[in-house]
Amino acid sequence: MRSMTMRSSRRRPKYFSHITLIILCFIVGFPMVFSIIKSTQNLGQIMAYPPNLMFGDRLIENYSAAWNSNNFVRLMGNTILVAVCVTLGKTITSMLAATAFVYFRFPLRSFLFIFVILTLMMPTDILVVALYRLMGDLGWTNQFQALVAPFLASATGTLLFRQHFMNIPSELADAAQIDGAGPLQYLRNVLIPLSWNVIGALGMIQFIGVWNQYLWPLLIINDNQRQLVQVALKGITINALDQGNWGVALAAAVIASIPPLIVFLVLQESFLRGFALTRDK
Amino acid sequence: MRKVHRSTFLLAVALIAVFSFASLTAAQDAVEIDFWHAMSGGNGEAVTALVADFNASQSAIVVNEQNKGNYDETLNAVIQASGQGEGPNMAQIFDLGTPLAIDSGFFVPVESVLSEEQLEALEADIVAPLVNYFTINDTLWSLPWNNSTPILYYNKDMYEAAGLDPEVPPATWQELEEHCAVIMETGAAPYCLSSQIYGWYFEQWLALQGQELANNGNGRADRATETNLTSPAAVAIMEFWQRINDAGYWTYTGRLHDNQGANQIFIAKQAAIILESTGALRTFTTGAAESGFELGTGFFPTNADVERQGPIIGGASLWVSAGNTDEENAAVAEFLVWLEAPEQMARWHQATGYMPDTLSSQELLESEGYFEENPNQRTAVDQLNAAAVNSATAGAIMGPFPQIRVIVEQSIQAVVSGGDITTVLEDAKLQADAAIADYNSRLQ
Amino acid sequence: MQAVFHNRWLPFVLLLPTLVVLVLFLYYPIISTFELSFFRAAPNGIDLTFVGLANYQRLLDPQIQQTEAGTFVVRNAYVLVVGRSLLFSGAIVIGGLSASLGVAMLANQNLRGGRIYRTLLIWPYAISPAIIGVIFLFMFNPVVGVINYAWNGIFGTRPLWLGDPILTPLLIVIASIWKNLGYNVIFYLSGLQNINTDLLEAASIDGANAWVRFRRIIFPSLSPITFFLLITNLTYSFFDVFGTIDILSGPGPANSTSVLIYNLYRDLQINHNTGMAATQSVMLFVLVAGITVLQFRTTERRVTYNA
Repeated sequence: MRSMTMRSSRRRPKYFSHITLIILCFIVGFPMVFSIIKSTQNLGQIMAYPPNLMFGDRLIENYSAAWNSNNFVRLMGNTILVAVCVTLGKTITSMLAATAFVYFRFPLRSFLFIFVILTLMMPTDILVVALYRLMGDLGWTNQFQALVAPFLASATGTLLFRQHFMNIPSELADAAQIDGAGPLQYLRNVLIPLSWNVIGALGMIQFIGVWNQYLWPLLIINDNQRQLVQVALKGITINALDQGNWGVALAAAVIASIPPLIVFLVLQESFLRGFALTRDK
Repeated sequence: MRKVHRSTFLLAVALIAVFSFASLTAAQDAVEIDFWHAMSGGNGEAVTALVADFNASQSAIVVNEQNKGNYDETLNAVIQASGQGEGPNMAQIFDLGTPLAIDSGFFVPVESVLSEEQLEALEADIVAPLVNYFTINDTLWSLPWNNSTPILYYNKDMYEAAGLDPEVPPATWQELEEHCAVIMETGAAPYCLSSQIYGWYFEQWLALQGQELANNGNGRADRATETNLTSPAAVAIMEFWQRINDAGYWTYTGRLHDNQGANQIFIAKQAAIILESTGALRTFTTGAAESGFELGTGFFPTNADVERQGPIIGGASLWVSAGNTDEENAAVAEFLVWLEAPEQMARWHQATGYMPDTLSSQELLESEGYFEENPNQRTAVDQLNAAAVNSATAGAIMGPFPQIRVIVEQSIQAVVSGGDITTVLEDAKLQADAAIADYNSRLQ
Repeated sequence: MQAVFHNRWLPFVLLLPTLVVLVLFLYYPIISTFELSFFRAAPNGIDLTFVGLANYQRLLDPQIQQTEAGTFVVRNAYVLVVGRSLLFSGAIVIGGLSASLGVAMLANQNLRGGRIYRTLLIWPYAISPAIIGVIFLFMFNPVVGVINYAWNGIFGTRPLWLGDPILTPLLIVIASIWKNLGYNVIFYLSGLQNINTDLLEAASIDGANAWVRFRRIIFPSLSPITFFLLITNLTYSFFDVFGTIDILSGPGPANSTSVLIYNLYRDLQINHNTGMAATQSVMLFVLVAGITVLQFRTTERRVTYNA
């Protein structure tokens, strides 16, 4: 397993990169670190001036209060389920669609591609009213399907896989055809193994996308037992501002960011796969 | 990797079975009432607890409560669902949503589902300014439930450090400015006043000066067609804001309606005084204890040149759906009366910090010695009970009120950034009146 | 040119799931949303009256007025908002892509602790946008926020980050770039993994320095991913910035952060003016779709595939 490295930097000491990265991580990650610190403090420490950036003594109270409030655990479970289904579904449908666009010539190909891409230009939040009516007609209000089915296709995924497939040397497909492999075998034996890093990246993004959905589940789900976690999380936050439970709100936010983080840590394996071709040489 | 994916998929299928098909519990024969509200977090838990108690107290009615996000989101959800005949039987709607709720046609006046005795008893028990707010054109449209008014909070330690009497908060703008001069001179605090730019305060100050915000009796006798944003009372408010800004007494975060930022400044001991809703009392009590200062409260200060009238109440009320059967309406009425009963109202106040809306609940709290233990809570109740009852203090009813509030906030920001008061207010009036005209033209 | 498989029906089978979902759950709602642009909605946003093109007329009416000096000016606020949105979008896309390419290249090196760096750089992306906004407000409080505490220590001033017509849009752009950094970095990292290391090694042996290797090999190899990110960041910058703006600045001082999507959401969700909101949706759709098609026509030609 080998990844691209900047060979010339062997002359430049590595600590230069480390220092730059540490500074970058500090800037990019500061709000995150800030929230973690603040989630362990009491209100007086959170609001203190000059700012208090030491860990406080409310770690256990704040986190257990967040964990025990508003069905939090159950909602996390619901959200993981929905996110996994949507992520898998989107990855599969968009990979199939991209295969069609890249490896086949068929009538209306360009038209259908634009047709798919244009859906990027209308975010779901604007369509919720019309989508809500459609769900009512289908009898899906308050149902699991309403959280999954509308999101099973992805213009983003299709475009991403298209870009990736077009970058894969065409000799591979030629060779596969000479070997008598059909498109599906080619997809299974060549494209997918060459795409793990892209699949990992897309999976990660899609998972977080579902994980952070708010407006749609809020509107379509009328049962606390079936709701998704961000709805409860935003509720806890809004309320915390009114009642001074800042630490609890931040604790809830930190807890809710952990499942996407785990997904990332797992998928990071696939990021490191790199260009399998050079590896197998 | 492929194996991992396959097992995640199997896990997903298993989870589907566990989670999504859990059946709902439904009692037989009982009337089911769907109640959508905007209370989340701790307040939401208070609703859940109240509803559970109601359901346990009798067997004929089952109330299903459901949080639908914040006020705007709840109103949206109720309207969308009602448009499809899938709305709740009753809903909590915030003050500014009142005209929209009426104009939507999805609600009936709450008085139409109450019996005559129930209505009379409630109107006598609920504090007069509250009844005043929710009565439009002599019709009681909704029942006040979670309400608040703005008051003044101050840091007694800073008052002491400045050599001011820590038991006497400013009651007027003029006193506030005097106190500020002392506080700034003595260096008792970096700033005197922390206050968000909030349209609600502007509205309060109009009402406190006895000025209506909209024409036609504040939009209550007839539909509002014009705002009074260029009235002398409005000019006086802007001049006050300009004075405390120019003198360096006042500070804000730059963001309009940023209560959180203003509170942060006050709790961090960077300002001696803050204007905030009574709902923030708990935050300030905790914050003051944990940052180590003594908290005091006073009435919302107003213009000393005019006799004190207001304040206007804010918050939300309970609305009854127009699509209910008679049986459902009777059940809703029973639940509403139960919610307003002294025990429930007192408990609601203690759990959430919203006003005890009824005289009976205030008496109950008094008899339990609650106000003696929580003198700052008394300030809010006294201020509300002392409010004059007229069309100015009732608050305005205007369709595009949320829009107009933002226009007003932008105007205040323009004035403290150096804008000319007359020009800014004329421009604000132009925009606000156009919004009203647009709304009115959309009525069918 | 990619090799082609020959099959008459298979491509349609492969496309079917995507097309069914998109037609049913996106195109159907899109078309019914667009229909609303020809109607005036009652205050509840639901009861409709047909008004033809009146909504468009109102939105696009230039409202030409004569000034005291005798010149003519366009008083249509919508034109201003369109211009402002284009500026925001340009800054967010260009700034975001360059920042994340740099970060990804650094984080992609074979360094001890590389995984930790990558995780830390991407973690913030996992936090919900609503929470991020609250945290930013907290940090950027001009009086007691941690940013101004440091800023005041270094520069001796306390900028009013959220109340200044120049600083506030700047902060929104920075916050938007920051918020989407994880997204871009993830895809750039995956793109960097696809680069053929043999080429780089050969170039190194030939004596090409880091810049030449970047220009000649890395950047061209990344161009398919860059093109993908260009399209997705464009939609991000026009649509998904709403959450950040709504929490951090609202319309902004002197309307300086009032962009197309902000006005649209206000009309849709606060004013319940569904007709006008739909009209703005159509305009926004046409604008962004136009830019995207233009990008496919022009930029994609320069994308190097199969480097």
